[in-house]
Amino acid sequence: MKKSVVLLSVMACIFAMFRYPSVMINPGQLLEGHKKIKDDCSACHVMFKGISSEKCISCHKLSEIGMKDIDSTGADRKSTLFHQNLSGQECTACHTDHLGANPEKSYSGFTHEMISNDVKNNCSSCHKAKEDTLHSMLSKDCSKCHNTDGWKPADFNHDMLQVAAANCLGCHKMPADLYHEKFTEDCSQCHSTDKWKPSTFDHSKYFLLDKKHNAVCITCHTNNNYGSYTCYGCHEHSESKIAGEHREEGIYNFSNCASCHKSGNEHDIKIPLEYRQGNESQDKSGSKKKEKKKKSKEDDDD
Amino acid sequence: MTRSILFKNVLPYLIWYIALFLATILIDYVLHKLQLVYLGRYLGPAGTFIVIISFVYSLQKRRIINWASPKLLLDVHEILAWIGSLMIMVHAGIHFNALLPWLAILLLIIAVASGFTGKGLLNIAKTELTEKKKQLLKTGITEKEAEEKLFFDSITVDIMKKWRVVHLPITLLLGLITLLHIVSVIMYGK
Repeated sequence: MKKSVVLLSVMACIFAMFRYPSVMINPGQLLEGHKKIKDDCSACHVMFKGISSEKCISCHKLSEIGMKDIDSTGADRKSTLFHQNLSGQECTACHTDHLGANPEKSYSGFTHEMISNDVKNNCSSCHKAKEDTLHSMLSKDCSKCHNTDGWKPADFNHDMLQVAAANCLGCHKMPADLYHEKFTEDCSQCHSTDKWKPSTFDHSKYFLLDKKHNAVCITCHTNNNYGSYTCYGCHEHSESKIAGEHREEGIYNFSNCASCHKSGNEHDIKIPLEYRQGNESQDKSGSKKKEKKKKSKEDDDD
Repeated sequence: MTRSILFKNVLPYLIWYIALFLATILIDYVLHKLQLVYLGRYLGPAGTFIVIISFVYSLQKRRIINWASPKLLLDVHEILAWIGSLMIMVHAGIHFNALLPWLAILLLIIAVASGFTGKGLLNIAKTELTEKKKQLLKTGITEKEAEEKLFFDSITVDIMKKWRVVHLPITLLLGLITLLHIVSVIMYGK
């Protein structure tokens, strides 16, 4: 009884295998163009012999591959007909079907070594040329940057550009911060064509970022605005304390700290000429105040 | 002695059974992560070969061969069948395409489950049930009362008794379906 159930089950499976192969043994969905032959395995497969290229060619004429679809009536694509030079190759060396584990790799076996040098050296005969700004400025010789192993990584060099390389914004997007907004051209003041970072921008021209001032940008440049700064972003410098110290010295215009203080060294103070002139009257009244203060101190000592 | 048969005798095998599925998922994940999915293709034939080797126990049991202890061969059968099944399940992966190979996987899962409730395990459970009953009768209660107390254990043992009814025909069917799968691959493969 048990044996007969087993035998019947197997017989049913064998029947279903041949009657409904797409359900029973199809290892994966067929490519769109092959879907109509889903239950006719022998359209491509020769039993126990694999897939015959002759079967493929009976539908896909070598002289038309790349130019015509099976169902199309005329030439509808502009492409190089390199397949006709591949008559020695098995179709399955490059093409596969039933999708498999990696459907995107339907052409996994293809290498450029299979095609003739004439075709190989004329990349645009098979590949669509890039039409972006960068590629329009370059020569048609793709091999200067790309190789046949893959589109990326590309070995690009700015010297290859046919137009002046100064127009960085033709290809690169300007950083969207307020600091870079001030510059509309000549990125080369800070950046080189080798790489974006590090830039050659010298902060010490404005203020030396010494050990005590080794802070992140936003400590001083708040609100993503690199065009302004504040020295009151840390515990050390409070507005009232700085105001007190400067007024004591008779300095009343102290809003732009870095105009006089180029570093954290309190002895490294360079007052610009215009500040000196602007503060002259203040200096005089300040000197008088200082003298008065000194005198009252001496009187107290007596 | 007071612990139920389910926890003492069934749970360890249940853990091994669940481990089979977890290990399959883990290995499948690692193969995908390392882009070594193609290895799964070879795990099928290798796993099948290992399972076939494990059937040496069946040969011994039917006295076709007689050169090793049945206990040793049973252990080997259990271990190799588990490893082989794991390889076959990784080979199947989590891809639902053709029905025939999935039918084989379903039969494999049932065969492994029925194998775990095999005769060795059943004997242990039966012995323990008898022992438990003896102990209860010694306390002075009637046989009916003892049977009522052991109701759940008796049900467990009764279910386990059915293992043979499932294990042998399912394994036979599994073998034949696997054979069909192999033949179909040879017939329509590259």
